[in-house]
Amino acid sequence: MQKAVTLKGTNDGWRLIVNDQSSYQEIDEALASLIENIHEESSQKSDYLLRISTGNRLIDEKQLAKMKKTIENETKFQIERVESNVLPKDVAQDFANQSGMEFVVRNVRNGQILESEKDLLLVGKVFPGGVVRSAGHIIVIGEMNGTIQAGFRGNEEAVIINNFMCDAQVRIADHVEVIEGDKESDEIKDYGVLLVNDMYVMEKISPRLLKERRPDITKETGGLEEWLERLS
Amino acid sequence: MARTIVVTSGKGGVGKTTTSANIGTALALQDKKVCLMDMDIGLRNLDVILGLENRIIYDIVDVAEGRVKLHQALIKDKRFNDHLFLIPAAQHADKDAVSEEQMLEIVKELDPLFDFIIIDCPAGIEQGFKNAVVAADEAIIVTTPENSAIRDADRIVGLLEQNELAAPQLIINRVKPQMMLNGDIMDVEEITQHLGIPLLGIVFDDEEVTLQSNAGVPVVMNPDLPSAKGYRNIARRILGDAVPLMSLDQQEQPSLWQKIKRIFTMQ
Repeated sequence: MQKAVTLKGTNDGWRLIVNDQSSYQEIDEALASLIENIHEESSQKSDYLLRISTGNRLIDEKQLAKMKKTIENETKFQIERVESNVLPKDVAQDFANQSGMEFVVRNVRNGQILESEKDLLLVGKVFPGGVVRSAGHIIVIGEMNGTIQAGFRGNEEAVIINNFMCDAQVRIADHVEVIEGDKESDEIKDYGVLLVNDMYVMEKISPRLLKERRPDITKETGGLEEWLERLS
Repeated sequence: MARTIVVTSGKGGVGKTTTSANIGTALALQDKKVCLMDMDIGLRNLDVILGLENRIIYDIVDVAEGRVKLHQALIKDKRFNDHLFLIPAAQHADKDAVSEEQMLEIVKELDPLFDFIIIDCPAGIEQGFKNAVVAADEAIIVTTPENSAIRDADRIVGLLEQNELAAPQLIINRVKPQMMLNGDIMDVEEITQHLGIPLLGIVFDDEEVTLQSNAGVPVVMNPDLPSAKGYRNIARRILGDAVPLMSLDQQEQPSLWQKIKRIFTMQ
């Protein structure tokens, strides 16, 4: 039978492999005896980085914290990171809710609020008095009146994309601007990108320059690892 | 120390918001410091008439719930040199979002900063009305020369009498001189007599009011218009001037000439 915990030296450093079939008690005991063994044959002089792999076993945060504390207090190992193949459902749900893009087809009328934790693509009309709010970027395909608030949790990197032909209040993080559209002209304007520039002033740029000004714009949407890192 | 005046009517659509905006603007033009408060939470309009709609960031519910300081919700109308301010209503809440205590608190804080606080009351006699009235010292009742509006105005006078307000004053809005002269509808005197409260002024029915409101410019800013004159007279009476009432037929004559003049100037 496989041991509950195994300490292994690999090419990229020390690894503590937790057997995902063992009970928590078994893991606890095995860890204690492992630490004892380390003490006995200890020639450890300096700190080593240690990765913990928990495989398909879900160890809750309390248990994990206790484990980390025991290891860091009693040995010279420093926990570098914890790797796991599994996620609690609620964290997975948060990831799903907060990453990627939300695609909405509707009108946002006076007094209505459309709110999203993700980047938001809205196809429809925003009426005066309507509010569209997103923690990330906002793209509106359609007439954009009302209040449009990108990065409303404080993300100054967020952008708003529209052709800006109507009157609207636009906000990115804490920056506020009133846009006055050109209602007289029938000519359809090109879409532009509104962002907060290095001088902390709102600026409208051509979509051609978006990649240059916001190099990370497409990266932000994916990547569980990045997201988890940002979370911790 | 500010004079706090609530503009109310009971019935909807008689011109409370337009009246609030125009009286506020007229007083600001007379170098008074004015704060307009929109209490029509959920169906705000005062910001639209003043052309300040897209400048709203915080509203009265944000203030009431302590999310922001009062001065953060005050929107300055740049046209009037620091004389006209607006506290907008919230659009995403309902009338119960502000309590009478919170309203008193807010008005108390505004009091030392302004000469006039004009409160635009929502239609109806529910919580929104109570909130609008609770902090006011004076009341202006707006009615039109229609029996339904007069009936509701009467109901409001009754309700206001239970509060300890100074006697409400009356504005008759959308006065149609020809119909009154012909005796088709109650005339100014009959309406005033019927309601038994002092008349503060009359405003003639004028299509320009709608046009100007749509453009976000209160009509009172254009002093040549008869409706603007009505509002300016009302503001002067509020300030204590004795201004004679505009007479119905005086009004009729020039408007006929104006029409003819318009025909000529158009060509």
